[in-house]
Amino acid sequence: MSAVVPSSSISPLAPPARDNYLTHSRGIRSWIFTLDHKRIGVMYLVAILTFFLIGSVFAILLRSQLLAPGPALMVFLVIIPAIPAVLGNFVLPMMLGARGVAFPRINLLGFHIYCAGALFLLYVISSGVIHTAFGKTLPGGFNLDAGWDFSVPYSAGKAAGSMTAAAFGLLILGFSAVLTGVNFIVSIHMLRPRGMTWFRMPLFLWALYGTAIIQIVANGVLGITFLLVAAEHFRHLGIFDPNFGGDPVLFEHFFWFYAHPAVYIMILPAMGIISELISTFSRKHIFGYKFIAYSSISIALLGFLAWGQHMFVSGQSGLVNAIFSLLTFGVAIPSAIQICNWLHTLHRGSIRLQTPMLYALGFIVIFTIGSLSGLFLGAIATGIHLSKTSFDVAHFHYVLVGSTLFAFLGGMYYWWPKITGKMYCEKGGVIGAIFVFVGFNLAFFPLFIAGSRGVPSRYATHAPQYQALGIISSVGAYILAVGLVIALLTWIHSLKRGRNAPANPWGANSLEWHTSSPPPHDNGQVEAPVGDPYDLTAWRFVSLEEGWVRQENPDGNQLADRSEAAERQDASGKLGMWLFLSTILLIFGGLFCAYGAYRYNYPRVFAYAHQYMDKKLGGITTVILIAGSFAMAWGARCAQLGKRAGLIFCLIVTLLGGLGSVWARTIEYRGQKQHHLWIGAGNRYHKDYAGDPAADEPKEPAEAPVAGDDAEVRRQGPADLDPLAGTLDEPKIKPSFNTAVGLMPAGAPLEPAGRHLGYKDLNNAERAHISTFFSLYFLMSGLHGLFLLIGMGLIIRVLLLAVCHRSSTAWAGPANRAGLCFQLVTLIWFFIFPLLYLIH
Amino acid sequence: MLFQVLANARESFWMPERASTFANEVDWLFYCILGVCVFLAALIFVPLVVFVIRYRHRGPNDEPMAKSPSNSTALQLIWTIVPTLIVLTIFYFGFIGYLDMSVVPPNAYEIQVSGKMSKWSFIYPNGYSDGELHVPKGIPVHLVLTSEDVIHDLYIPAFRIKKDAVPGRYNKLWFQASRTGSFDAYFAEYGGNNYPQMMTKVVVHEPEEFDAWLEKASNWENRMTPLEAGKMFFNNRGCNQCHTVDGTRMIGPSLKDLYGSMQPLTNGAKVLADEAYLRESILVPGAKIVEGYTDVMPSYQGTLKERDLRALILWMKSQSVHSTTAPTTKPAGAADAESPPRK
Repeated sequence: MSAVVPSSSISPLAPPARDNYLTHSRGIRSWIFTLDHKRIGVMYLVAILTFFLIGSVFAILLRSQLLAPGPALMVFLVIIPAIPAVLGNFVLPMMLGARGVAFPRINLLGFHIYCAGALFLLYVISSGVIHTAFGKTLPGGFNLDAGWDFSVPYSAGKAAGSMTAAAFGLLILGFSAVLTGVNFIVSIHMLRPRGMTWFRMPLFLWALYGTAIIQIVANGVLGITFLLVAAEHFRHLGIFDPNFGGDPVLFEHFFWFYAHPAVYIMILPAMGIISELISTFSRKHIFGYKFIAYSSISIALLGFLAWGQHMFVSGQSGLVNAIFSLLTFGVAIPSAIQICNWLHTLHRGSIRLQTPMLYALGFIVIFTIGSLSGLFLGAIATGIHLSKTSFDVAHFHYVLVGSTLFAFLGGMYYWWPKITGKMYCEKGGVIGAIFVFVGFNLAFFPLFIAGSRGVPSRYATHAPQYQALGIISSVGAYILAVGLVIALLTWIHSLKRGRNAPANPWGANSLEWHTSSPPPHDNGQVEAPVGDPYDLTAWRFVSLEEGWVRQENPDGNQLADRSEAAERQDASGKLGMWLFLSTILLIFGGLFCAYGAYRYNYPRVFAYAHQYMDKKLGGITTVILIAGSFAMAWGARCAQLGKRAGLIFCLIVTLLGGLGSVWARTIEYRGQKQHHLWIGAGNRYHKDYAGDPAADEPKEPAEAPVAGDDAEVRRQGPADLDPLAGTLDEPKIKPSFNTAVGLMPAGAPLEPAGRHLGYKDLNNAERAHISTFFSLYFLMSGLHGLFLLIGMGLIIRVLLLAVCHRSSTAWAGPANRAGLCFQLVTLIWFFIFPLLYLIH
Repeated sequence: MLFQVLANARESFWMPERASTFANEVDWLFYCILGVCVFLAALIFVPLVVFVIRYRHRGPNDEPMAKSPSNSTALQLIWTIVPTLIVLTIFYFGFIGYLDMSVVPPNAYEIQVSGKMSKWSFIYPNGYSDGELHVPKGIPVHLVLTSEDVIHDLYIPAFRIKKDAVPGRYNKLWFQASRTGSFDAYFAEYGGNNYPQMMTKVVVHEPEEFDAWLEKASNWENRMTPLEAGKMFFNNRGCNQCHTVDGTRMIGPSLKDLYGSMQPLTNGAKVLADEAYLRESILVPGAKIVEGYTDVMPSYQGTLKERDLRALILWMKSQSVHSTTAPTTKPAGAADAESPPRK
């Protein structure tokens, strides 16, 4: 110990020989199957750095080819997960003073899913690269040929096979992000120690909280979008593809509803890191804590409303453009608030220009330039000229790529001693930071000039008059690359030669600095005092070896108390379930939006086509589901009261209800398939339908058994089924399936022809959209059926638990969660039923 | 005045040459925003540098100069309200500029634009189609964009305009060229592998030169036979929307075997479908309506020139067995792309 002995009884310095998370267990399995959030964070780091290198190789390989799948790889595999998955995973639980995240197993699952999705995507893209570069196709290979925004119909038409595959890869990655997001939100809600109120959380946690909200909401929409693209490809649904009555602009809406918030998935956690760095290295309390916290959340929320700014030139109405322009400007204000607060934190501080701080200052410059350039794109008149030019590209790189890169590098240097237990070479770090800053600006600032002078984004700097700009840009790119290599070398050097890091090398006060570096397996923060994370006054610099040491225990700090954590276990499970269900709700939300768009544009098509829906079967499904839902509610109550027999009975009734509605659905589908109202080309209103719509109808009313039921029913004649078969004067015949599917006894009178819309009342444009109605119907009811089956699976699991275990602790919680899931499935049906069956 | 200098200059450091009436407005707004941005950037970067130098730490345990407050509501309000006012102002001017762009003047000269994977087609009112866009100077031009395959995006930097061409939709775009000359036009959306090659030219003529150019460019006599031209008019001028050549009844009577036949009229009379009748039916469609049809056909008076009419009627004769003048087999030029396969 040095001469300065801390007066406090709490020593942050752990004995140096103490076991840490890196040495806690050995062997590759102890890493791959670890539940330790720190190891998962480190594995994310390794994976992301690997993909970053591969992406760079692609970028070099494809320099001659202007279309580069490299960007897609970089954005989805590296930039989006970099901060939340690596630094978020490592730091978040320690900032909370917790031993880990709320659901360690789900966290690990998220990592494995990320790897699977990344490898799949990598295969798809590299086979595309090989195809382009060498003209060879890998087995099962693809030729990915679409911009990074996957514009349909380009993606649904020409290169559809590989597009669908890439979309599937993104879907997997999105699922992984949802798992991480759920974990973060639940951890922040449930694992905060007593004394850490919302406004005593470090700002990085606020930023991660906002990020997690976006991840959960946006990935739900991304999921349904790519599901629709894939379905479009395989079955020609006619949702997006205009050849089959779809609307490609709807795809743009869906895509940007995901992609615009995805921008904030990248930038929000970056801003959180900067708040930490600026405060620590100015040795000052962060200025305007609450305003920064609120602006983080408002950026997350406003980000959802501004997607339409990407579509100023797509032909949407002037009013819509104006609204989106205004909302886009709205996002600028919280950004301005944060920049001003950082600036004021510097004022009268004691600024240390160490590597993390240099990156933080670089971030402020880059982010300011990026945000200000957004003003040109947000104002509609100039935005029309500048959108889709390299000005747009430069803006994107400044505000996203650059900012994320600077914050990630700053954060990496900041937490590097904590993660590895080694200090890095300060001189190397500083030189690297200067190279990165200069290189980045040289590489991307010229693009602003080229873009405003009218060079479209994907033409790069082709035109000879912009050659000088192109050369500057290339030189900048090389300097940037050198800077990144220097950064990588300092890390490698630190691992090999770096001196041991003290517990707190920076004098920061958030809880992760209250434990040894690297932290022990259980984080060792039991004694960490909870207080204002930005109150740095208690820390005094002692020596390079010992770093900063706490001098006293100021008033208001309390010991972390984790006694409640166990009690919150069940509550955590429930919150996690709710968040997961909200993603499912958003998937349906996307479908309902598509439905709304078509219903609004073609009301008569819906009024006509819904006549094919069997209201009685739909009604029966509704009644069965309500009954099952009541039984489930009663079962959950039984579970809470510990009544095992009651629970088992209720679960069986619920299961029967579920089976009943699945049965009803099967009958309905079979009837529709028989009458050529199937999905895609099996639908007689579809463009690709093989036969003549009228000729394929059964000509004679036949006594044929339908659906294998014991009831033999009279098949309806063509006149009842086919509106085409009506006479010119009396086309208004109501199609009905009631007899066909066995709900009405044989020989019962057909429903009289009412004053309904007939096929002949529709014009050609409307007729082209009839099959879209069926596509939407099958997607909605099919997805609902799928979730119903998942819910029934959960119920079967609870049933098995209840049968096997006497004690209610084994099944009370799961019963509750399965109940939630089943109620949600019922709830969704309450929307689907009136929208599809009962419209007029 | 700075703006006057800008308005006179053909191109500036940041913006390309100006060749439409929008260009001045857009450039004016651009430089205004640029001024605001430079001012705001200075407001952030100058203190940033000053603070970093002035408040640099002096020793290992150097502490902040004074314990300053960690919040000030007045300051927060200032840097919330001032940026809000700034962005609202910019929004207002951006929106005003956009309003001009979104309202097409009623007397505008209309050109149909169709995007395809490797080229644009610009179709002029007389039906002539060209790969380059030619427009008259000083007259509002209205482009109606659509696409035959994927989403394309027409971008003419010198006019400061850009619009998507979406399959299944008609998007509108208008401008008024202010300077003669030749300018670049781009595809700004992703449109396939050979993307960078897909540029074209916009040529601005004086109005009278434009008429002469169009007259010359659309004169088919140098390029094709009358039969080919007649077939082209049938396909390009909308005839095939209502008439077939295979005998199928659509909105109008089929042209198959029409020439030389006797047609019953709505007034009970009968008429021989000869050259005079066909000519009259094209120019004054409502004069004699064939029984079972209604008077819905637009007049082609003025849009088809005399030589065009002759070519069209000649081709209609070739579709009829009653024809004595037309060759029995179709000429090589008039390949039977429009006739459906016989069953």
